[in-house]
Amino acid sequence: MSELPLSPFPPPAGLVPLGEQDVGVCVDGVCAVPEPVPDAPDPEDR
Amino acid sequence: MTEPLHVDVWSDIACPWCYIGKRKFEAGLAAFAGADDVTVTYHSFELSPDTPQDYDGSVVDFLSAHKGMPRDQVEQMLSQVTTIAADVGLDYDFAAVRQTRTLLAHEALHAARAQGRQLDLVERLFAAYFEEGRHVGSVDELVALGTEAGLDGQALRDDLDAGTYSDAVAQDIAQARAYGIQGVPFYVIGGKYGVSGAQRPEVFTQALEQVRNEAVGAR
Repeated sequence: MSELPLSPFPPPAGLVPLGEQDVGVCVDGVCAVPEPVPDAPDPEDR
Repeated sequence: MTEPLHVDVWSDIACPWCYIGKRKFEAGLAAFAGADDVTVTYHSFELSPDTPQDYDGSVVDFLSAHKGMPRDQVEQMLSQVTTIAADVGLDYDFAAVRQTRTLLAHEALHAARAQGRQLDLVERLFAAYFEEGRHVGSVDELVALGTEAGLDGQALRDDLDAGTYSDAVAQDIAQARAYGIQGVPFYVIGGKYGVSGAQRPEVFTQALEQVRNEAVGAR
């Protein structure tokens, strides 16, 4: 199995970040819903 | 013998993504071959310490008044989160939620840890808050919920009355700050990897496998 890609979010001090950016997180009492990632265009539609 | 693998979770009972994340983490853990060797500890993070202990309004009232969010935006956000929660089998009822400060609930979770029942109480408090409209800022309610979760209720009441774990809660929050954690849920896996948010179960499984493989490779 391949290793997880490093996440692009800023690394918390001393930790190696894993996972995806902009998933469900609550910050300062606000729990925003991430925008859906648009599907990649179908190569046959090009 | 396999070395234990520890996961530290920073979370707040009043955090809808934390309960969703709990389900996703549990699914990811279930798919991990070494799940029996994994221990999980929940740590305190106060998402909204400016919340009064007793707040008469709704979640929508609170977020619009205290966070300056337009009511329709809050309602849309809560509706979307409710739908996502349902996808992992949770029945959120934001209309019934009793908005409250969660400091005492965090102290109760530390007391539960000392009694060896922390994961039982985490689950009980999340369900009580998001699905049942219970007041998790009330000592009486916390004792009742703790008893339902298998704790010694009188010992829990004594600890809450005495503030036995108030320093432990503060230490957790300070550790979160030291890690640079700004939002929850946040998972520290094997003391090395940081996973932010209610990620897909596969992310947790792969993170656990990565830590396990590194431990095996280091021997």
